[in-house]
Amino acid sequence: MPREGLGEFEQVVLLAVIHLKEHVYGVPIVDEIERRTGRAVARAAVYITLRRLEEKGLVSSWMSEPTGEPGGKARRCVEVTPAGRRALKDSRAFLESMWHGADLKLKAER
Amino acid sequence: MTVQPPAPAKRWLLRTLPRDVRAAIVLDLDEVFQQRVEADGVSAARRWYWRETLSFSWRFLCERLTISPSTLRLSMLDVKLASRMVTKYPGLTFIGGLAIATAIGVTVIGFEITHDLSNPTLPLPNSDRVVSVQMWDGRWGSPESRLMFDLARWREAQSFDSIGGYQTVERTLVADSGEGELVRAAEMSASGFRVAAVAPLLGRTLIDADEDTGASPVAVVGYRLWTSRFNSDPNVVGRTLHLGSVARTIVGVMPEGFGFPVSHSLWIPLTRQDSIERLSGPVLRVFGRLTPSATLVAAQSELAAISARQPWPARVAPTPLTPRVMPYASGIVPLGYIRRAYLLQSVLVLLLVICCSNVAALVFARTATRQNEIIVRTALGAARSRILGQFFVEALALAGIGAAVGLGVANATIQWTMKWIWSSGSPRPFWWDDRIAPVTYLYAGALTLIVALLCGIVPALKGTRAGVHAGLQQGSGRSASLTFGVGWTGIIVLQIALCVALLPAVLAQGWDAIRAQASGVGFATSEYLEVTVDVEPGSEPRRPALYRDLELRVRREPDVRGVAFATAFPGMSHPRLPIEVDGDPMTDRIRPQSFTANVAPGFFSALDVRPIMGRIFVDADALAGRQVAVVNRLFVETVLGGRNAIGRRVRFASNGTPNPWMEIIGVVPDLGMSALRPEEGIGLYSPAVPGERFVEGMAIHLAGDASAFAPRLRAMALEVSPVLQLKNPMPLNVVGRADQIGVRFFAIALAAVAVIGVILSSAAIYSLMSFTVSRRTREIAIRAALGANPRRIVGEIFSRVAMQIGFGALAGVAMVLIARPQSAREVWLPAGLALFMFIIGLCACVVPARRALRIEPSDALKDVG
Repeated sequence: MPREGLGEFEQVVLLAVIHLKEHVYGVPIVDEIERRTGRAVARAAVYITLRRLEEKGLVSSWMSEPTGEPGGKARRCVEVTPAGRRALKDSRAFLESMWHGADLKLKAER
Repeated sequence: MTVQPPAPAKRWLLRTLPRDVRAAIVLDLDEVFQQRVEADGVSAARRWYWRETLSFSWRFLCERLTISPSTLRLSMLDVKLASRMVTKYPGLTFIGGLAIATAIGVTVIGFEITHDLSNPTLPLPNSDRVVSVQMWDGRWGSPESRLMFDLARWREAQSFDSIGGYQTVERTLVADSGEGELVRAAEMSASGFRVAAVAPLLGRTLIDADEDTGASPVAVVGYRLWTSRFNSDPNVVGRTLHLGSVARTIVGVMPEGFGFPVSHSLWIPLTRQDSIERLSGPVLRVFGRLTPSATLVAAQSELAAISARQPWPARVAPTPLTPRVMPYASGIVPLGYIRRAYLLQSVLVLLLVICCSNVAALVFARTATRQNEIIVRTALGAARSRILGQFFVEALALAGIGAAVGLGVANATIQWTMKWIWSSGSPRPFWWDDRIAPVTYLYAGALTLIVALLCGIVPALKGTRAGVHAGLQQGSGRSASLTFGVGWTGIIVLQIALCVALLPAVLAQGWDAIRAQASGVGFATSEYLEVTVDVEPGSEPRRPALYRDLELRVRREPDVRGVAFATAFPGMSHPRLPIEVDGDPMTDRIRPQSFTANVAPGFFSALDVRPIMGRIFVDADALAGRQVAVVNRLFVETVLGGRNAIGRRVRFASNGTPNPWMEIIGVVPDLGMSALRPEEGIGLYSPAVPGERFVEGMAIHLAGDASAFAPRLRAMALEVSPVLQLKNPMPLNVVGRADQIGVRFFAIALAAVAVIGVILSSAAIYSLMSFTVSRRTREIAIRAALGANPRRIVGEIFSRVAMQIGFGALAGVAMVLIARPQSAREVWLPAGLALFMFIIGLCACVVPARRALRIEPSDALKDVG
């Protein structure tokens, strides 16, 4: 059965999780996407995407220990699962197979 | 100090987001909110929080409905056109808006009540794990509550973190000043506090050792009691609390808002009875906190397995008892209430459907007048879907206005009603929130969309169907005439039938309520202080003596003119029972029903009531247990047909052992036994000693302010004995109002809705009939031009209308007759309403028919061909 492909925003979110090394939760993910892309993203869209990715088994989540400062709260942290990493690689390969040779043509048209 | 995000927005998020992510999202938003406060200031951060709240709610709703947010964008032009339509047709906006406001308002009230009763959110940690446990008796279809034995065994269940039980008891709380006040306390197992999982504000909660027989008596007080009775004393722990005849040490204070199990502000330990037999002991409600991994079904199976292993005592035959584990509120709120709430909700949805069909009919009539506009827009290239979209937005604007007004009225009604209910002394469950829940707003939003679809799309589909192109070819909308099909005719007939069958009864109830409110009960009830007198459990044998002692002390007071004891006083609810009259053949066929009251001998004298005939009760009647009765004037007129009552014998009808006959010894005036329908207040009084046969109501006739006597009465009761309990002393006029106001309020509210229903139905029938005849203007004119007799034409028009309305009216009257009306009013009111609608329908035909007949024959024939 063919595996369901990743949407563009799903790839963006997965890549942001990979770029962040530890203590990865909603707030730094949104910051990372905005910092790298230079675009504002809807915060809710990121959380919905994370939830959907978790349902697909591409990310896993757990509640962290409370932070050290007074009144520190536990966070819902996420990490990319091996299946998520494979899906990212597949998506990239899929797109690269289509991009192969196309960039030269695009350059020539300029 | 840390600035907090807007609390309503946070609450909204916590209620609307999916359970698995809501906590994480709120925490993350809090963090970003704090960053925004530092960067942009408090106001900007709050605005940002609200924007994020809306964004999250909207996107998660779309996610749930599996639709893309971008597909629901509306054109601003549609919105502008819709606003114009609202002002261009003020009549339709008013009638339609009123109908939708009424329908959505009452439906929202019904939904909110149903939701609060059946599925509330408890303000406790992990409240979804807090459950009620019942032992269901299959023989009677009701729960068995003597559960002390089973509760002790259920404590070993692995599905529960904690399991406990309680019973509500009433005790006189004696203050240091010597004043007494009746308070409700939860006699609860210590595990109840573990189930609630709320830490005390001061001291400790109950512990298992407090439940031991012989343990030192202790109490935990609630925040309200702590502030009102102990002036928020921080050193209250260790002080003594006199509850009835027992002195208890206060060991803790619970925080504000804590009222677990229901509405309690005082907790005392439930003494453990290890040697108790099964199905004996106090009446308990049982609750528990499930472990995180347990389910309702698994917990129920485990409890059933434990109960099945327990032996039955010799005196009890094994009975089919099954434990049931259910959401917490379902075990607290009586099942009958929840069923009634669902029934009410169903009726209200039916009302909404009727209102929608009316508004849809009105919109359809308006659509018919806009045929030319539709044709021109089609000619200019507008797709049918585009026109449908515009009609939908127009209907949405109308429905939105109606929904906003309806929600506002519903909110105000709920706030007012709940405020009144709580102020009248009803216990307020700790989870009850008077505000409309977010889920109810979502429900109202969904209703608004459905109403807009029904009232916008359905008429528009018909209006844009075939015929438009034909009209376009002729450059006029005349040939593309819209007509009502079988569906609309069916709706009209059904609506008239329902109106005729249902609305008159509702109107009559409302009228009775208004009339009863205006009339009194025949004497100055404001001069009487009414109170229910009770004694602590265990002191029941002393009841008559204690009552007598209290009565003697009260009578010695200078302002007291008289004292009366009864089960109920004029203006209050009285029980109604079927009766039989000795030797009356009528009673074999019809058993009349009479309101009844057991009264002490001094009852009539204290109310300044003199007998119309015969005599009133004397002490010997009650003390010797004589089988005598006093009846009221209506009893004589209605049950005895005006014949002499003295010496006749009556008794309460029974299907089993016959009740003893009672001899009528006197007749008194009517004294408000039926507060809602005085003309049906047939009454029968029997004698009793205060404290016996439920004669626990006491009314004191005073020369001065009745309510000012209450503190003095409490002091006297305390002097008699601390086991005496006085419940809700209030002037009799206030008690009577409180007793009936709920019924009256709903009767008047439903009657108001019924009046709106009649107005709306009449408006819809008028416009539809008028529209139907208008559509036939050319046909009528041509037939007149060709020489048809105008009388015959008019007769034909009227007969068609008369057939539609008449059929609906007859169906409605038939429904009334099938329901077996109890009085003539129940027949002539529906018949009158049917006649009214008939006249409305005929009037609607007169104007367009006359206009058609006045068209010159030459003008009518010009257009042919």
